[in-house]
Amino acid sequence: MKLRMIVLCMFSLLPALALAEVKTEIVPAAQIERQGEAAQLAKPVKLSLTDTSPTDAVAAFVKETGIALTFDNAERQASGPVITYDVAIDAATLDDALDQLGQSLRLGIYRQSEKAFRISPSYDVGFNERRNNFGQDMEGGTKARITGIRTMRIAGQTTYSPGQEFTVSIVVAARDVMLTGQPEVKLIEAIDEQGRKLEQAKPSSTMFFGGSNLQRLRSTLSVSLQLSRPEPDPAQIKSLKGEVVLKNVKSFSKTTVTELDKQVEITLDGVKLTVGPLAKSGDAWRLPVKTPPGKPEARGNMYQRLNFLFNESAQATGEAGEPLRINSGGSRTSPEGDEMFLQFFSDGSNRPASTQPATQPATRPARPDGIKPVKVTWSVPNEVEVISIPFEAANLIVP
Amino acid sequence: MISRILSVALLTIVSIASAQTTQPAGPTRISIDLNDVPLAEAMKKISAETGVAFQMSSSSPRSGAQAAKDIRVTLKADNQPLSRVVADFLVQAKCSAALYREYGGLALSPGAPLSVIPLNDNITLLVQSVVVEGYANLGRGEPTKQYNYTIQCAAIFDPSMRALGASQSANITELNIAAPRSRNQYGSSSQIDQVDGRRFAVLLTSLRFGTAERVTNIEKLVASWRVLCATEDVKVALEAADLINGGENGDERLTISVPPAGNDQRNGVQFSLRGSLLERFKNSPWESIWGTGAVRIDGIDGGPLEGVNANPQGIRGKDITFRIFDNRGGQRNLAEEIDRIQVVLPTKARYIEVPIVLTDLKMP
Repeated sequence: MKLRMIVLCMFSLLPALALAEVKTEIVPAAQIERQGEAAQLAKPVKLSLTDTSPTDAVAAFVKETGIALTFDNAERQASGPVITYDVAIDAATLDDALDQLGQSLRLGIYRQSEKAFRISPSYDVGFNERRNNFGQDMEGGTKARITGIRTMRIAGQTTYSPGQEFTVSIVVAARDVMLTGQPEVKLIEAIDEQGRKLEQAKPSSTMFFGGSNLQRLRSTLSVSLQLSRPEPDPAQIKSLKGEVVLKNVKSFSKTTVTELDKQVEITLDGVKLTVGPLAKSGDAWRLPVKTPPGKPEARGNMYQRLNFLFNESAQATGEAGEPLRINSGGSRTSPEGDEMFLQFFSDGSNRPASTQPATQPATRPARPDGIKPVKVTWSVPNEVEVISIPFEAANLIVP
Repeated sequence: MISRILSVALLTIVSIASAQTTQPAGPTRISIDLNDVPLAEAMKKISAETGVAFQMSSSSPRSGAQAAKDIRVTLKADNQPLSRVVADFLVQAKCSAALYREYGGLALSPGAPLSVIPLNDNITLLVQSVVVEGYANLGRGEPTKQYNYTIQCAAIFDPSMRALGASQSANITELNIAAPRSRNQYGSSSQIDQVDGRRFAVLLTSLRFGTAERVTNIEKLVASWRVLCATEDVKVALEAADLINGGENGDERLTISVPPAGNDQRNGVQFSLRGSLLERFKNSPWESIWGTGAVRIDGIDGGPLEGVNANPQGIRGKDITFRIFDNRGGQRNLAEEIDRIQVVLPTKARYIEVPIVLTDLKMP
C-alpha cells in the first residue's frame, strides 16, 4: 500500500531588503525539470584512433558528440609519462558511446549534469551511471524492488568496516520525482531460514548519491538496507518487509537576484543570506554570500547545506544573456557568520543551456574568464511531498 | 648551534648536482640481528640498515602505539636481499605495509601479512588481505550468485629497481580454482595511482576476479603487474655548513638553496627548490613524491633521520619552500641533527611487467 502525505515545507522567502534587486516566484517542479533534458546523440558515433593519448581521444569524442566531457583532474594528464591507447567506438546511443570510450581508455565516466559528464581514473571502467541503473527496465509508477543481497568476508588487515557485511540492494522506480534530502530505508521485519530475527544494522544509504540536497530522478534510484549478520551465516531470508521513504519536491521557490553590484538579503532553503556585492578578484567575478552570526546549526553547514548555492539549483546569466557556470570559490567561517564565494565560468561544461548544444572542448581548463554575471537565480524546494514506497519479498538467497 | 658549525667545519663539504642513468644492479644486501627486541627498537634498527625510516601509521594511533610496545621481534639475516629482510621483518612485527602519504618513511599498520612470496631477489610480495564480496542477483529471472575476490598485496622493491609507481590492479592471466571464473566485474586503472620515491619502494596492488560459486582455495594464480621504474634521476644536495650559513646547488632544471642566515631565518630546517623540473611534479599523483621520499634527510651519522619529513610550505615566485618537521610533534632541535638534505627527482622512466604467481592461497 502506498502512503502519500503532503507536507508543506515553508521555505518561504522573507521580504528582501532591496526589493528592486530580488524577484521571487513559485514554480511547479515539472517546469524546472523541463529546463534540462537528457543528452541524446544526433547521429551514431564511430571513432577509431590508434596510439592516442586520453586527452586527444576525449577531444575527438567531444567533437563527434557535442557533449561536454571533462577530466576530474586535467592536470594529471599533463604529468608524468604520456600513456597511449587504441580507441574504437561504434555506438548508436550516448550511453553506449560513453561506455565504450571509458573501456577503451580504462577510465570511468560519470554524469555531472544533464549534458555534462566527467572522467575519473578511480571509477569502474565505462559509463558509471549505466552500470548502476540495475532497474532501468522497471515500468509503471513508483515502486521498489529488491535486486540483490551483498555479503563481505575478510581475511587479514583492511580498512573495510565489518558493519557493511550484509546489505540488501533495493531499486526504486520513481521517474517523476524531484528528490530532496537523503532517501530513507526502514525495516519492518526480516526473518532468516532459522527463524532468527535480523535487525537493521545502520542507517540506509544510496549507492550513487553525492552531497547534493536536490536530485532529479531520471529512472531509478538505488538504495540499500544494512542488516545484522548472525553467526552462522544465514542461507536465506525467509521474509523481508520494509519501506523506502522519499521526499519529492512539488514546487520551487525561484529567487532571482539582479543588480549584483549591491548587497541584498534573502532567505533560501531556510537559511538567511546576504548576497553581494559582486567584485572582481583577479580574472574572476566573485559574489560573496554570507550567513548571519549565530549558532552554527542555525546558519546551516557551509559545505553541505549551502551546496545548492552553486549546484544545479543555481543558474547565472552573463551580460550577453549567456548561461554561466557557478562554482564554489572558497569559503570562510567566523563568529560573525559564514561566507561563501561564488565564481562564474562560461565554458558551459557544468550546465550548458538547454537550447544550445555544448560544443566546448572538454579539455579546456576550468578557469574564470572575466564574464560578468548580471543575474543569479536559485530554485529551492517550496512544497514537499513525502512518499512511502513499501517492499516485500520471501525466500531470498544469501551469497 | 656553534658546536654544530664547528663540528661540520671539520667535515668535507660535498655538494652534488648530477643526472644519473640507471644501471641494472643486483639486490641490495643487508644483515640484521634482532633477538626478542621491542618493535619500537626493532624499527630503529631496520631503519638504520635500510636507509628508510619505519614508523607506525597514524591512521591507527592507539593500536599502533600498543603494537610498538607489546610486540617483540626476532629476526636474523646475513647478507640477504633487502626486500626479503623487510618482508620477514613485517611478518615478525605482525604488521602490514600501509601506503599513507604521511611521511617519507614506511608506515606500518597492525595486522600480520597472510603470506610472503619472494618474486625474485629484487621484489618480495606480501599478501596482506583478502576480501570476498558475495552478491546474490535477485532481479528478473532466476536468482544468480556472484563472488568478487580482492587480494590486496604490497610489493617491496629493491632500491636498484627505482620503482616509482604502479597501477592499482594487476592483470590476472591464469587462475586455477574449483569454480568457473565469471566476467571480471572490476575495472583496473592503468594510470599511475601511487608514487613512491624512497630508497626502496613499497607499492600496493590488488588482484581481482569473480566467480559464480564461492571458492575457499586458489590453487594457482598468475598475474602481470605494470610498474613504472626510473631510468634517470636528477639529484641535488646541500650538506653541513651550507645548511646553516646558506648555499645553493643545482642547475636550471633543479636547484636547492638555503639563504644566508639572518635574524628571521630558521636555517637547518628549511630550504627552497626551483627549476623547470618542478612543473612536472605539482599534479596528482606526482606531487605525492614530495611526501614519499623525493626529499631525503640524513643525520650526522650518515643514515636517515628518524621521524622527520619535509613538507612544502608555499611558493614564492618560482621557489617552493620546504620546512622539515618532527612528524611526531616533538620538540627536537632538528637544526642540530640534520647534516644533509638531498632531493632526487626522476626525469625518465619506463614500465616493467612484474609477474606475480600465487599458489595454494586460502580464501575467507
